[in-house]
Amino acid sequence: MESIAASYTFLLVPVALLAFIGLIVQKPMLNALLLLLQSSFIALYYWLNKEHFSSMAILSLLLFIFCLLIWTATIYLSRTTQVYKPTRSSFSLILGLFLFLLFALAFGQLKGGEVQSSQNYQDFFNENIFAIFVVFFTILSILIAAAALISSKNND
Amino acid sequence: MDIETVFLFITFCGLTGTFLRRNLLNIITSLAQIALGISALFSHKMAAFGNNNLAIYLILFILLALIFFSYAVALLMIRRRSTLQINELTELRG
Repeated sequence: MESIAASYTFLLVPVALLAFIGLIVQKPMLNALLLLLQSSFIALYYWLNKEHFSSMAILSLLLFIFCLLIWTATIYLSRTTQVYKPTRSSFSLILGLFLFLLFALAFGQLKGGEVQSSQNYQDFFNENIFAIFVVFFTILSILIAAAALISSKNND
Repeated sequence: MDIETVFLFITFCGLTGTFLRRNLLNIITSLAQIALGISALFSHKMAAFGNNNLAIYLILFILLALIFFSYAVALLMIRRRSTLQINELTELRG
């Protein structure tokens, strides 16, 4: 178990790097995204360190990263070009997709472990604490990004 | 790389960001980063001792409440003053 835990420590190097980049960068939207990436890397680290790791969790994680890329591209397009301006509905569509994938991710992590009938409430929360982490911090960073969008619209 | 060092580094980055930033949204993100670092550190410590995760729930609850409160303040500032830069917010409007 110790050797497995040691072999995935490299996953925490990007977390430290992202935290340092977030310290330097002064853009709130980018900071929110960096925070999101950090929490997902930490979650990935803990998932990989578990003994049982289902393919559903890997699939949902890949979808999650894909959705992150879409989100980044949308924000990049809306910032750089004058032609594409995200309306409120398109932003909420992306937000909805995001949340759906998040719950798929959390569900994949829940199903990843061997479900036991004797599992009590406290054990369930202790085992799935990192799924809760990711959901919390993602919703938080989306909120910050939304506030950044609103404030930039008002400043223009 | 030691895992605890990484989590401490995240917390340190968040703390430094809280003091250095001049935008309210960036300060909120830094607070979230502190929450992430501290709770991950505590959960790692607690897992090593085989203890329950009560301390993480407490820290998460307190810091998330703080972050949501400051987020609400930020939204209010956008509506009333239409800026979030601390330098501009401290100026008086006559």
